[in-house]
Amino acid sequence: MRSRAELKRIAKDRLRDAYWPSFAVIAITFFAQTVQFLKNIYVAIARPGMFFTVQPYGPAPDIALTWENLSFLVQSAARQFDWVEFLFGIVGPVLMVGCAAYFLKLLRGQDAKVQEVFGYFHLFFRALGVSILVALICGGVFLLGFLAGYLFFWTIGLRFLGMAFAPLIAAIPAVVVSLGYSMVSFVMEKALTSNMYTLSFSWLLHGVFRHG
Amino acid sequence: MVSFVMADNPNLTALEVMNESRKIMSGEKGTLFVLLLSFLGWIILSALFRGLLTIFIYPYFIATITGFYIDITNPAQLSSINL
Repeated sequence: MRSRAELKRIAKDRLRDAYWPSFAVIAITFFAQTVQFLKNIYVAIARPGMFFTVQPYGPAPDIALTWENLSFLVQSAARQFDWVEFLFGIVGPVLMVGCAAYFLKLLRGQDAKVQEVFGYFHLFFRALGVSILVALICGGVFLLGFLAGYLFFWTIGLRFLGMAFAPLIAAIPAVVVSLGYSMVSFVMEKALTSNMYTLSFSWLLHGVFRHG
Repeated sequence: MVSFVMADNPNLTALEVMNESRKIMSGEKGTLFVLLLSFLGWIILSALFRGLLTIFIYPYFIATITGFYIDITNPAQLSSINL
């Protein structure tokens, strides 16, 4: 078993002559992130003042349950629906298999080509199925851990701490389980809900990478 | 490791891929966890630039994880590379 430093050195060495093709593979595979990256660049250039500002939420409007308001809410939700993220949730898993194949070839010293990333669409449903199954398993473990943590704080009379600490307690078994399927965590980004980030360390890592 | 297992063994079913991934990672979760943690500096740096660096760091990150996968499944394949 090689050390971390050695693994990183090998990775750097293999990327030395193939960084930009690898970058292209990453940009295609994580296309939702590429779009976000371009948006960030646009914000940085076009509205530099907006780049580091925090936009607070306004007060919640007092909305009565009328047909007009419901229709407005549905239309707003449809407008804000992120089609890129949705598409990424569907196509991402199979692209990730292609991405894995590319990097496997690269690290093995074989001839790795960018188009490798599109070469596994015959596994589309299998990749999607695996990603959904892994999300369900990790999600289930997290929920069980959360319930156990919340019940623990509830029984010792510190219910107010339950909501704060139960997710942290639940993250531990979820991390252990998700590490077993580790690479899928990158595939599974936002596959079910954005709160799924909390389900594993890798999602957390990816969340930090993306959203800072 | 599911993506790697699937790329390496396209004939396996979804459940077989998941079982194989679990088998490969058995006893190696801690190592991978520490390997992921070793990217903390990059994560912080990326966060400072509001994620703009992320996309440039990813090739290095995934290449390292790929190296880890090859190392635990067939280390000889990494040894054959001339460094």
